[in-house]
Amino acid sequence: MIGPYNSEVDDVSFALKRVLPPVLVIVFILAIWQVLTVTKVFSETQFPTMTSTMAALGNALVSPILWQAVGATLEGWIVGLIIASVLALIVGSLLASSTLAFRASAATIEVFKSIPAVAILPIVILVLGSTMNMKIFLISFGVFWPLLIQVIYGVRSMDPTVRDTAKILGVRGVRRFLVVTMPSAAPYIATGLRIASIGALILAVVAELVGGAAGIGRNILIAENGGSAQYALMYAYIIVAGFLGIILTGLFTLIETRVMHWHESQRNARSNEESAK
Amino acid sequence: MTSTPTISVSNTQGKPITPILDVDSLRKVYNQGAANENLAIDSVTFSVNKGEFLCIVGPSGCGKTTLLRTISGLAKPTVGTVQFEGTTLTRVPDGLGVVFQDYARSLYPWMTNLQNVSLPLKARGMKKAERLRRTHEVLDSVGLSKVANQYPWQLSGGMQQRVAIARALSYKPDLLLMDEPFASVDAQTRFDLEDLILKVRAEYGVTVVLVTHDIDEAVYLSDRIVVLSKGPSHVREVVPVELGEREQLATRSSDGFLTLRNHLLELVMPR
Repeated sequence: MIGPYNSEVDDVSFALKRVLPPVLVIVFILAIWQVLTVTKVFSETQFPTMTSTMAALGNALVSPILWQAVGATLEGWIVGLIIASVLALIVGSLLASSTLAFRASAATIEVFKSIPAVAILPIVILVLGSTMNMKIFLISFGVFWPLLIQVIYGVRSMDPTVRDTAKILGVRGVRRFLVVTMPSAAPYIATGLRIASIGALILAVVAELVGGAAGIGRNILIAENGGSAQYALMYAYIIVAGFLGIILTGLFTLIETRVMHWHESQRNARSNEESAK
Repeated sequence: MTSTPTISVSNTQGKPITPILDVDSLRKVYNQGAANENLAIDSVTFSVNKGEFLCIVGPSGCGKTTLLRTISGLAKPTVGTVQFEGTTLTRVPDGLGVVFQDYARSLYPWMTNLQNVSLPLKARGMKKAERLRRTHEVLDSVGLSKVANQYPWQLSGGMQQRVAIARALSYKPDLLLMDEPFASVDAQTRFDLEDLILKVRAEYGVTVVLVTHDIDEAVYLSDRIVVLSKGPSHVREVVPVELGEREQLATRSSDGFLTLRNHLLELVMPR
């Protein structure tokens, strides 16, 4: 006999199918870690056991030191990202509005984009010291160029019908920029921002780890310098840095789904999900 | 049947009428002087009177879309002038509405239907209360008051084109230009939209210039038809249409309709 349709049971089994496999893989990896360290394939001085790392992580999570570091990292991340985004949006839209300006500046932008931001770290430290400003500058510089290119291509790829419609409707100036140009370039900008948010986090950690600015990166360095007794804590910080990356990517994906709900890719994703159920 | 395009037209009372749109010796060359130089329009002259419904037909590739872009102020003529309400066009005038063929790209998908329709009113600085009233009024007259808060992509093709028509009418333009507006919808919807455009034309007293490749549609809708030659185009003939009150079945099967249709087919079809 076929039972009545029960959506609750269905949702539970659906969740199990989706959640269970990745959880099992994580548990498996943690177990391997524990086995390799307990059996001394890796010694305590090279690699702490999984359980001691987890214990250190547990202690760190309830300590203000970790949260202050996370706060400092996120502050640099968000301020750097905002500065780079605002500049990229303004400069990119201006350059994209003229073919001459676009052609004239393309080579320069390519050169700056190709400079790894880390390469300018020594000079930035020299000028600004191991400060929050140094971190913010490094992040802004590093993510500005790729974002600028995304904005330029986004604006230049505007559908001619979209542009003509704006002209016909008499939509001009700032209003045109905000309600036509930006939404029309939004798919490019969203991709650029998603990539920039990860780039900004990496640069924040580098500025802290190498440049000595306060944040999770510097805490990793301090723990490392503390000798093998501190290794478990160092790995705990590294795990936290990894989770920061996951959370920030998730956040951006969530914002993108919300803001870009009208876009074809999101509409298609929604209808695929509907038909998969 | 043959008449040459004229600028000064008289109405039945014999009073001279100033044309709302006057296209004089318009010539459009793309990439002039370059290797890929392309003469799209040779020389086109015609005028549109206030309140008139004028269709422009011609064989495919006769530069209809180029012509429409030029008379809307989106493109500049290489030679000749376009006068809108007595002044030479230098940009898109405020009193002009345009409905594009491709509604899916012309309606902004990031705005609701209501936001799409009220956008030109916002651009004209209309106060919010008045804007909302006008938007609902115009959505109502195209029969779409219920979907104001939905997005264009949630509607059928025919309904989307109605939103586009509502948007073009919202600011009460003096002249409505339509570029193959019903080419992407099914036949039944097409008939409905044709009657809708005749209805709103009467309601809003707007002058309409509609570009189409469909001769039946041109005969059904127009007061006059400008027939273009194949590209580089010139005006082959301006055909007046006097069919009185329109009704899809009756009009399309009337003798007058069929005679005009055959005459236009002869003009448009290559021999």
